[in-house]
Amino acid sequence: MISKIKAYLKEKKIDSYEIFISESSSIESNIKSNNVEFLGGGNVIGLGITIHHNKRTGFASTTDLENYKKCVDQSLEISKSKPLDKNFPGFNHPQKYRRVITHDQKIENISAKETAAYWGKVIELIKKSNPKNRAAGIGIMSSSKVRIINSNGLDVSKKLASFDYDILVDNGKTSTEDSVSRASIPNLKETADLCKFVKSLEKKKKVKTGKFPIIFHPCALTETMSVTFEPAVNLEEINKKTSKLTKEVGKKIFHESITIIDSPLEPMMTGSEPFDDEGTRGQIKKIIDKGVFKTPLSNNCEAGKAGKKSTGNAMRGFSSESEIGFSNIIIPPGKIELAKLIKKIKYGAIIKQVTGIHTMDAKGGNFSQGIGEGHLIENGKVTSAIQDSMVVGNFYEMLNQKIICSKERINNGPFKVPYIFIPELTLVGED
Amino acid sequence: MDKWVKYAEKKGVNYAELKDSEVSVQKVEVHNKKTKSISDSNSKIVSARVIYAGKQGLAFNTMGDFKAAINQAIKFAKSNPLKSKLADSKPTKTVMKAKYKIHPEDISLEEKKKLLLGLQTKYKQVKKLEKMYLHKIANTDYINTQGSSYLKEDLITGLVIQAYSQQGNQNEHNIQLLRHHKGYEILKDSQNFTNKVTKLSTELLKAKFAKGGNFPVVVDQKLGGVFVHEAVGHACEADFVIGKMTVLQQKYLNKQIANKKVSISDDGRIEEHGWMTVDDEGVKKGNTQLIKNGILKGYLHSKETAAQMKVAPTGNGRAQSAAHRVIPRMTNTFMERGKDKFENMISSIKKGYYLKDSKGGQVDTVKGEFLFGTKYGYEINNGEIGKMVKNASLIGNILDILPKISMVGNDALLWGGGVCGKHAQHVPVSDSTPGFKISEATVGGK
Repeated sequence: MISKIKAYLKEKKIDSYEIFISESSSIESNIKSNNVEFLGGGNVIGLGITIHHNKRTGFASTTDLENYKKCVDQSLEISKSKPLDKNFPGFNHPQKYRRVITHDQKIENISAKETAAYWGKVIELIKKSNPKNRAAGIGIMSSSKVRIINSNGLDVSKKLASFDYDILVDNGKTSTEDSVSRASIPNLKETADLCKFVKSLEKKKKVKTGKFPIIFHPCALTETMSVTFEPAVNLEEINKKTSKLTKEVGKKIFHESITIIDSPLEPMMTGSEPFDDEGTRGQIKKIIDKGVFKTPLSNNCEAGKAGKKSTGNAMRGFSSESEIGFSNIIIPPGKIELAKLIKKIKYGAIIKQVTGIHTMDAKGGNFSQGIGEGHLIENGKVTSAIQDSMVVGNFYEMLNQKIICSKERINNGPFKVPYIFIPELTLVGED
Repeated sequence: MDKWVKYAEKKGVNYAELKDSEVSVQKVEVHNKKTKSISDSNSKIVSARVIYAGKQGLAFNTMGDFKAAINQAIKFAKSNPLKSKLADSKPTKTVMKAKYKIHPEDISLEEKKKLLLGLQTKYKQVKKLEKMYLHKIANTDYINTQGSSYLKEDLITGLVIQAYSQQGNQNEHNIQLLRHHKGYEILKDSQNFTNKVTKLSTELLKAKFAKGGNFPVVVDQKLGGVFVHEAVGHACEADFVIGKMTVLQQKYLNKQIANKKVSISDDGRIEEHGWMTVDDEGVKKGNTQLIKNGILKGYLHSKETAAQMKVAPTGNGRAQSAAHRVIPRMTNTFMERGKDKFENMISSIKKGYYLKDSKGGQVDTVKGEFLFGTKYGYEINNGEIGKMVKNASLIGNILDILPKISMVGNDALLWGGGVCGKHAQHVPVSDSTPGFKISEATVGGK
């Protein structure tokens, strides 16, 4: 098929091109009332063709690979409507990649029967922890093979796989929900921890309204980072001057205890890969170094506009053009244990989940969110869960305070980050 | 597809439904006065959903291979430990035609580009104006072993406007979508739409942050729409009821759960963003009353949940695509108009907020807790509307807040269209209410 597509591109005398083919398969499982109640899945093969012709770019995609000629013709037609692309950096040339273990190979070949058996063990553990516990959730095992071929002789492939699930445990008095994303089959200890956690949510009260010290759990921190920080360090937003951080490159924006690293070369995380979706080699970058904004993330197109080289953060599927995103985000740990950070707080909170994070002011970093799951801290001790309360602040002002990173870190999906102690944030609860 | 239905029956299935769908999406994006990107994508998916030996399985592929899909679905069903049942539904044969005056495919790319390039702002504080045109054509051919079939032709045309405004160190951003199950004709007034989006982005520059606390609030039609969607619609989805994952459990059926001024329904026949006269399982969709005069009256059902609760399906079985599982979803959800005048709602409040337009919301149906974000609003001081505020969110608990809806406006419904996410699936929906007053709610500000 590839040779046919190449031959047709040659016949059309296209100046340069990139062919992106992905083959993915998935198994979805649904759990309700302590039972696996649904299994489904399938296979998707798709083709995306990007051309650069007469100094203009064009893109089209299809799942009908036999109809590749139409896809090429569409991309050519589109290029005619595009303006001259003066900054087009060219497609990648072949390059050397570092080897990285992206995932546990067991996920690639897992069957529906094995998936059901895995959930059976999870449900057993949940029921064993408390017979009144009921579990519900949705899990997706997915694997894909991506191949990138271009007119500069690049022809590379990568295999990726992950297991993502949302699970809810309801013990009759209260409930907790966890979103888990792994490059391997998750350890059952995580389920056991969740069962302990749900018990801790039973006794609840509203917070006082006012400014108090807060500890952001890695879950709440990464949710907030994904909405506001990821687009802000994207070179496209910086080139367009629509990022809050447009004029901040090279300047101190966070407290010196914060360093944020983007690394696709970290093994066995869901953003691990030897090269990005344009074939640029994976690189370790410090986005923030001791509070200073050092490196915006880029793909070829945006790096070309800024006269720089891509950081290898191109992300795409077969049906879309390349965009910029995090690979794996690592925040180095601090030296103080979480327990000691809790002890420092006379009245405050530890917040695990905020609700409605997509409603926050992504551009400005302002948030005014419900506390989905969190605990009150009184006189250095966790005393009760929080209900009907909100946390209000600004992401950038929050991390510019004299924050402290915990010694412990949690790895979920493409994130490995610590708990963050924030000296002052607004809580809204009782009048 | 008839031959593949017979093939499935020959394989011994108790039930099968087959879908053959083709989707094409075109996007044109212009930033200020420059074309940023243009793309065309086409995808085809076939799928088979079966009940085999009483168990359910779903499989799909992009190769047009029904045989493989049926066999894989049977394999999934065999691995499924739990038995499933689907409610019977009257055999229907439906053709749902796309509604348009001007088909977007009859308009050239050049013309679409010209339209976007021509959209301008008169506000000098707007430093960036991003405009995106899109249309999606989705054709699905469906057949099941209960004798139902449909051919759905759907067309959604849309315009997304994003305005970035700046004054001194203040930056604001406003994004709004105009989209309908209609054709290119919806873009006739796109300059007016752009004016509204850019005007709000400049007004927000002067707005102050709302102050957090517990206040009486009046919500407008669009924010109210998100409220009924999040706080009532999701909590009435029958899969949550069966799984005991909603606070609106069956013990509340036919009981007073809201102020008697509150009546809420879901109706797919209304030609808004949740328009759907037949659901994704071939069941006709009509009006489903959820709350009548404050009393909980019913739930939203797919065939599967209807069988489990031994009721008739309500035509709310929906799936994002042929590759997704059908689950109960909303269509167009709304609160009926009341008798209270807007000015009386405002004058009844000594200190509170009038909150307008939505940035979306989220609900935890198990705990009954919800949040919705507002685009902007106004202070209410001594019964009068005061200064503009921004960044206000509202939280509450469904069972606490429904009785606190103390006044329901007599103003017209103003529908807002959006995309609703549930179980990693997104479907188009719409919602609206008249303006209404909540006697006390927790508002988060700065």
